[in-house]
Amino acid sequence: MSLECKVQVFLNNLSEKKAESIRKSLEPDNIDFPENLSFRIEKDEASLIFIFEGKGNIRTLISTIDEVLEQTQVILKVTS
Amino acid sequence: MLGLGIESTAHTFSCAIVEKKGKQGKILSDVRKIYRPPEGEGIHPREASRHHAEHSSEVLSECLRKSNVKIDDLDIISYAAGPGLGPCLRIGAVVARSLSSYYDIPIYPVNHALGHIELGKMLTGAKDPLVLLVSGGHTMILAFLSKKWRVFGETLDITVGQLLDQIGRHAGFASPCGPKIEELASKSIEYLPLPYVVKGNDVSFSGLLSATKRIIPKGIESACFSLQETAFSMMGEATERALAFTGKKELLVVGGVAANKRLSNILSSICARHHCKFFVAPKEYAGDCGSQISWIGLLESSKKPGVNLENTFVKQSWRLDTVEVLY
Repeated sequence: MSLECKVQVFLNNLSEKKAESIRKSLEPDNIDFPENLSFRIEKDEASLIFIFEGKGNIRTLISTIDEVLEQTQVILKVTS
Repeated sequence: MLGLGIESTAHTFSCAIVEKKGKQGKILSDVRKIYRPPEGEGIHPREASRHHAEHSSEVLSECLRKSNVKIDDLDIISYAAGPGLGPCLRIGAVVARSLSSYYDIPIYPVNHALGHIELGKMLTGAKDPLVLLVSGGHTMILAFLSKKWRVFGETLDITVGQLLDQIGRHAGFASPCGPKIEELASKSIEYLPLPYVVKGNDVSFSGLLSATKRIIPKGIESACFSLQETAFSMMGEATERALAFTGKKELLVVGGVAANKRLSNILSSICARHHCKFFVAPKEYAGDCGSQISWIGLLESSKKPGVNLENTFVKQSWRLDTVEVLY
């Protein structure tokens, strides 16, 4: 039996402009994901929600979350 | 016109601001941070990208400060979209996209290898050269024809930069190993026979790599000397044949290995035989840098608008000979 995971990351208190910048910066690389792994971004008022879903190899899911959060940190830094 | 260029294809994270006036370019600032793997080890893509992520904002700030330019003053932003290591490329792309989106500046994804060539031309004044691109990512002989750089010879396996790095790492040096190998080679004139493989106008270095590892116990200096003589003579032969075939009257050497003086000696003597002008990219800008990316972005902006953010790709294996050059 393989493990199925869903991870949601909430980025709160973002300005509309910054949230849009994060979304637009991350989405172009959200392609060619391995099978059984997905990532999507949703907007909820002043929050941005990253939704990761993975099945099987949990390391791949963790690596993806790690890379996306690292890139988000870069975006926040260079636009501050 | 002011352009910010972001380079992050491999070891180097760099931001540069270049000003273009007419056809002239001027580098206002070029700031770099280089990921150094532990001695004897090669580049780990994810570790390199962590390095780039960590230093990106500091490099960008220093680049703006040194050039005395504010982000709002920038006319365009360009980034190296490939070829390169996926995680590293994505950091550069994310920095460029976030600035483009947040400050509403046109964005250009550019080919890293093309940047080496065009920056080399801009800095040396070469007009229509045969190009030898030698680095960790490329070993190619190219000439421009009908809107594209055409390949007149290349490596069939590893690049010359990888060859030097792998020998250096085998001997326990830290990457990049080219300067250390050049220094050791200059202390010997003892040539130990090594495989010399030129097929048509292409070269192959993998046999040379294995054979050089085997002769290192006979003396590291003579091994480095023999390695350089063999590898550079192979490239020299292929380049000379391409010069004779294309009839070009200029030869330009670009890429990190262009900084090697022995390679320049061999190539300049070939140029003398063919009554051809010899150009080599200045050492400071021979390797990976933001200036090469910024300059291509500026050249492209004279012919086309920036791309939409959703189309800002990264492509790990983006061959130079597939890029259409419009400027």
